[in-house]
Amino acid sequence: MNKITEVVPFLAPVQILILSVIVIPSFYVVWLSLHASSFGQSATFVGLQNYIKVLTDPAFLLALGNTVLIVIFAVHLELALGLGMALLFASGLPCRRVLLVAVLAPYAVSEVIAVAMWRFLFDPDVGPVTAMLTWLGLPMLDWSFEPSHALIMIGLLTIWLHLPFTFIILYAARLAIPKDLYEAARIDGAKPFDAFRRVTIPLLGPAIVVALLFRYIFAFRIFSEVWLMTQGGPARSTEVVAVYLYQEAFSFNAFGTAAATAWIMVLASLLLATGYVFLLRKQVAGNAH
Amino acid sequence: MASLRLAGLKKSFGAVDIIKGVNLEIKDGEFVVFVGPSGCGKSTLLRMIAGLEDISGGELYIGDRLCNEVQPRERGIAMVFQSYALYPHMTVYDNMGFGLSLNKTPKPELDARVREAARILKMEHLLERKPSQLSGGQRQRVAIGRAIVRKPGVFLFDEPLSNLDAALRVDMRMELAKLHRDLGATMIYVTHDQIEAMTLADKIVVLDGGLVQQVGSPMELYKNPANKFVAGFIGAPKMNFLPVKVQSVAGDTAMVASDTMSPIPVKGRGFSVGDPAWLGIRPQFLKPGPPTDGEGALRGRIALVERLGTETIIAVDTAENERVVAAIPVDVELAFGDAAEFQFNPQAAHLFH
Ligand SMILES: Nc1ncnc2c1ncn2[C@@H]1O[C@H](COP(=O)(O)OP(=O)(O)O)[C@@H](O)[C@H]1O
Ligand SMILES: [Mg+2]
Repeated sequence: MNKITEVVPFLAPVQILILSVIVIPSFYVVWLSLHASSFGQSATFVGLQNYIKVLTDPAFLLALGNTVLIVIFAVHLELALGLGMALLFASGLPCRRVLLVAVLAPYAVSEVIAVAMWRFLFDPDVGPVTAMLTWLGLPMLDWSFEPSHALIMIGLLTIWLHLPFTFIILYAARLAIPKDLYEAARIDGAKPFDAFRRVTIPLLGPAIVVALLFRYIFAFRIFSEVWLMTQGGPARSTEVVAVYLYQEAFSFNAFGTAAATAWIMVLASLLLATGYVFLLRKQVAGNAH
Repeated sequence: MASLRLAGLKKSFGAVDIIKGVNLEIKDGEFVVFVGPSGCGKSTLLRMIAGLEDISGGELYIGDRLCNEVQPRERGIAMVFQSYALYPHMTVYDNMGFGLSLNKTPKPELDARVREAARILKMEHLLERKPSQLSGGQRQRVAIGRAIVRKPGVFLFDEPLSNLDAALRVDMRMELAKLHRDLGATMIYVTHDQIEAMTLADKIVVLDGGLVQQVGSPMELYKNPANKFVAGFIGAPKMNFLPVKVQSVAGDTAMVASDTMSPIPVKGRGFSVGDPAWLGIRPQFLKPGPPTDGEGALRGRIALVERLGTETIIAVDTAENERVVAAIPVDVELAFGDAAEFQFNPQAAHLFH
């Protein structure tokens, strides 16, 4: 008993911090999502009206569609790229250290700077990449005008920004596989592709699931890439869920629906996470290291 | 089943020569042990035979086929690694059947061969387990089973027992010997442990510094070591070496003596009068007591007595500060610091350059 009273003051700062920055705001957002609220008017209780409003808003559904597209294409493409690069690095690439720095660099770049860079590189009029694409006779990315091009651009940008994360997880996991296993597999008659399919992939399984889980959640929350690149335009056509939320809250001052959107995002992320944690458990139990 | 021929086999890593020209004939069905100190290139030589290491020079024949450029899977070999190298995500059954499943062996045949190997190694009850659920000894069995299933002409073992505890090592050694008798396959076994080499081998290949020092049956190496290195490496405790001078030579016999040892005749070729030489005496050939007619004698003070039950190991420091070890099959009443005298038959001694 005495122990606890002695310990509490030391733990209290952490508890207070968590309570004040996470728990209380979350409950406030729940409360808010059940009320209609804006500047200059007192909140009135509306039940689940905000949720219904958001879920039936065509703008939200478009934003959700865009988000899902980005999650599906960007994350899986990124996984394939990251895996390919991890295997390339592990196979004994020359100048590995220099290349490693080059590959990891985007992670050190602030998103704002990255977007500014990309906007310049891909500028429809003066961008060097645009110039190169035209010179090669390829269609240019008219991202400031054509919504589908803008989405492609956003997808590429988010892959570029997050590839280091996926890569480093997979590379570390690949390095943890003992060399002997590949030698044993070679003697057992495995050609390189057999070794990849029957040794590498199963042993990378848990790392792949972890990388995917994190990236699904990050990608679902995507905001800065879109906001800085297109601000959801032209005509709200490239909005994603987080941008929709921002617009509701700060352009339309509809705090109730913004709060509801926030909770919809949290629930969707939790759903993704639960699914993958479940998968991961099953795999780990299956491997029983 | 297969014989092997290594002709001037060489390996270098960059500018460093590791294997410097190995010539060796291995007969079909022979149990050959590569033995030598750590870092002498045993594993490298074995991996060259397996095809895991490129060959820098010379020729490797398995059967009658030149195999320098042949893929491991086509060499008709199987290898057991020191680390076992079991696939952690597969059951024992799948580990053993992996090779067969890769070359699309029909299911019933695969099943029969895996179960046959499991029966030979008495591990039918382990087939559904994952490697992580096995003890070290059991993992070793699975690794051997995986090799058996492939029905190779040549088994390659790289220090397969060194991760096991002493008692298990002795058991597995006997099982390997039995396996060799039962399967009749050619086996090449790498170890740094001369006892494993002596007990398992039909033929021992002693390696040092990337070169073959001597090839022969265990007893040939024990009785007629070709040089000081082999003499010191084979036999336990290690052979004693004492610096001596050649005083006269008559045919195959040289008279040698040192400041503290009166002249004795020892067999040895290629010595001339005045040469410095090493007199080699195995600890088992030193007997306590003063010399009678014509025997060699060693005197000194006892530095260490180890009573093992079956024998007593006595270390003696001579007046020239040489450490001499004797192994005596009885328990003797000697204590640290006592003066001691040993005699030996000069015919049991060796002479080295
Ligand atoms: N891949 C490699 N690159 C460079 N040196 C190596 C490599 N493999 C082994 N060596 C060197 O070759 C020598 C022999 O190694 P090894 O065959 O493993 O010895 P042993 O098995 O007899 O202990 C060692 O000095 C080791 O450092
Ligand atoms: Mg070795």
